[in-house]
Amino acid sequence: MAKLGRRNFVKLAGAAAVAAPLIRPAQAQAKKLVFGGSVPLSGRAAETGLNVHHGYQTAIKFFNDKGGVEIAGEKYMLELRMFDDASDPARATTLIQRQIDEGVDFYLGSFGSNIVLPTAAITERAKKPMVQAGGGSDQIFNQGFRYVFGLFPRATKQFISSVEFFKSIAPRPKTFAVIMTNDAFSKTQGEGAINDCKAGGFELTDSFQLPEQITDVSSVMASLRAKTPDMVICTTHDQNSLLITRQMIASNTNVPLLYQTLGPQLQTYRETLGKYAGAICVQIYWDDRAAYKDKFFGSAGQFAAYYRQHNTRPLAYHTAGGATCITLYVHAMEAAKSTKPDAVRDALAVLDVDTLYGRVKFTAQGDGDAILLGPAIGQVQKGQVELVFPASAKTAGLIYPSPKWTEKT
Amino acid sequence: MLAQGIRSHRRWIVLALIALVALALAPVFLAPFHIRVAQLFLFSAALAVAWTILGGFAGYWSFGHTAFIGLGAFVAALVETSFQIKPAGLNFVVGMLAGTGACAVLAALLAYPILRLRGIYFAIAMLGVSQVLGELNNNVDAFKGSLGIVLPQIAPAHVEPQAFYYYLFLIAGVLTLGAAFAVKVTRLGHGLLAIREDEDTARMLGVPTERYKTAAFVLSAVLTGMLGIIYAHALGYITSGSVYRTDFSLNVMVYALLGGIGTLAGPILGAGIMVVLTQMVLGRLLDTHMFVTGALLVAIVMLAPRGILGYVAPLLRWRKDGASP
Repeated sequence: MAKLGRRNFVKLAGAAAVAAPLIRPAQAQAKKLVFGGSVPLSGRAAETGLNVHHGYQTAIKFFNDKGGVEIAGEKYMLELRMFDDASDPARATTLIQRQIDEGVDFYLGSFGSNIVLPTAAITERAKKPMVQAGGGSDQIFNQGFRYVFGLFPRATKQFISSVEFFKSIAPRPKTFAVIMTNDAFSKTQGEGAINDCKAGGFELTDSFQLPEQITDVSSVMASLRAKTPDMVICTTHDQNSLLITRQMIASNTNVPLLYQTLGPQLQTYRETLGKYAGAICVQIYWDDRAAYKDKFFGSAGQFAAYYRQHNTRPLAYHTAGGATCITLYVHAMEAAKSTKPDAVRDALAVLDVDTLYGRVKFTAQGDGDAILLGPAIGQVQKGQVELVFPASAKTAGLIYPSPKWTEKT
Repeated sequence: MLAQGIRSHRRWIVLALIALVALALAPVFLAPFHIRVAQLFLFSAALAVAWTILGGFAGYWSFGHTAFIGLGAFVAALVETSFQIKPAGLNFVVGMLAGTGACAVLAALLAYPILRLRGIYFAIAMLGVSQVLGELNNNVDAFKGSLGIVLPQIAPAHVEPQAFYYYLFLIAGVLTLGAAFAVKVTRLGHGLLAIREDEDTARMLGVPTERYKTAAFVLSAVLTGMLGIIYAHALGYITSGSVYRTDFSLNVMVYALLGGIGTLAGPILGAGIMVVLTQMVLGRLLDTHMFVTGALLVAIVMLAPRGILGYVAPLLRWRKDGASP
């Protein structure tokens, strides 16, 4: 073997310098699918933004660890090119324009309709698809956008799956009362609940609109005792739900079904109420125990296991939603046998697939199908939340009517 | 007095006119992303100049100017979506008049109680006003702040929206700068400077302090409202969270402090530096951009405590003709 002397070293270095530019283009030729978009990693929506971003990252890592994806016989590696929009719509629209200018073809969504809608208007104009799991406002889906797809049903339709659940209960409840607070989430859901339940044949006995931060609901309890409905629906946030339940217990206000959109899914809620939390129903957007089959991860449970293996951040339903956005793109590209934005958009529009998030199908306006992608229903049983609806996700039977507070064990 | 002011600032005016020509031609040469960055710069710079009329000239630092951005934006949005006057341009003008009118009325009503406060008390009171307005907007159904409003599209179909709004912001920026310049070089501006230096003495010497402060407050509010209305249209959809943002109020002060407070060129310079830094230089950094921005800001303030203009202007010796930027 020739000795690597100074002269040989110089020759070798010179050859390498000449060859390097020739090697680089060869490496650059490895095909890549770039997913752009913004996500709030700072600012008021940062907490949820981090969950969504972890979902994106996990799915990208999963596919790349498997050697990429194969579309129409060609291998592609996936690249995630997100930026922090800092929960600022002006920053989001400015920086998403940079990605449009750079030729990014596929977009993922931010969190919050006030950011998703202005950025979606830009990607729509550029005719690039956006699949997002962070904007549920009706306004996103009634603009006539063709390239924007949302995993969740629009806000006013998010109660439809709950009404289907109420209809499935035997013996069927007849009457309901609604408690909501004066904030966007609670109000939208509360009004949706009233309209959808009435349309479903249930009779409204009372509706209560309370301040955003509740301190006392004793007058509401008195009304409920005077005219007891079969169901009390609370479209309230965690702390307000807890306060309502506590005052129901304290005033011995019993109803056959107590249903809360948020609260019982939290361990702290269940621990605080102990045995009294039993039989309370709650909306569950996603649960890793659900029997959802996924072509890539295998199942919701296997996705959760993979996620926990590679992340320390607790798994949230927004994380699963974020990962599903990426898998939906891959499904659509495989179906379209193309990576052209128009072909992928057309494939997304007619997609009907089982994913780790459940069966996904979009409406003609681009939001998620209200029955398939609306929240599942859980019920607290022995301190845990069991899924009781829909049948495809069920982990336990429903306890109905609920035992009285004094009879709970 | 205005003519004298124009004469004594002729170098700055020539510079501003050259910049205006360059800015008017810029969209022809710039990529859409750079047009959006320039649009954000014009918005930020104009906001900072509007804030300077009260904060920089009179020394009344408002921590709640976002109240006028939000009020202007929502009043205009509600008027435009309710009346839907044809053509769209006229609808926009009506919305603009309603939005800026609401800002003028609010500022005039607030002026008497709130401008009696000084220093940090005024700043905190304005912060309170913006928080209260934001909460009201969010919680009163009629204002649609929580569910949001989609604004009518006013950009002609054949014009790229980013270029259209760029020019709207440019016009608004010129109006704001022109108004602020007129204030600065006239009796009102001198009165405001006297108030900033020593309000009690100014009053004793015959400066109508209440009237001057009210005029500056109302003008600043109207200009800020006008910018908020254009900003809302540029976004296309607003919720309370889009326009009632405390960071707007804080950013304008950062721009003014960075460039040089009390001047007109300073806030523009500060806005330019911050927009280029946050959107272009650090825009790609995913989780460290806030830290780097903060560190650079601290470094600049430590190196140039009187603002960049305060550091550079004496070196340029432009002040020998008596005109400050």
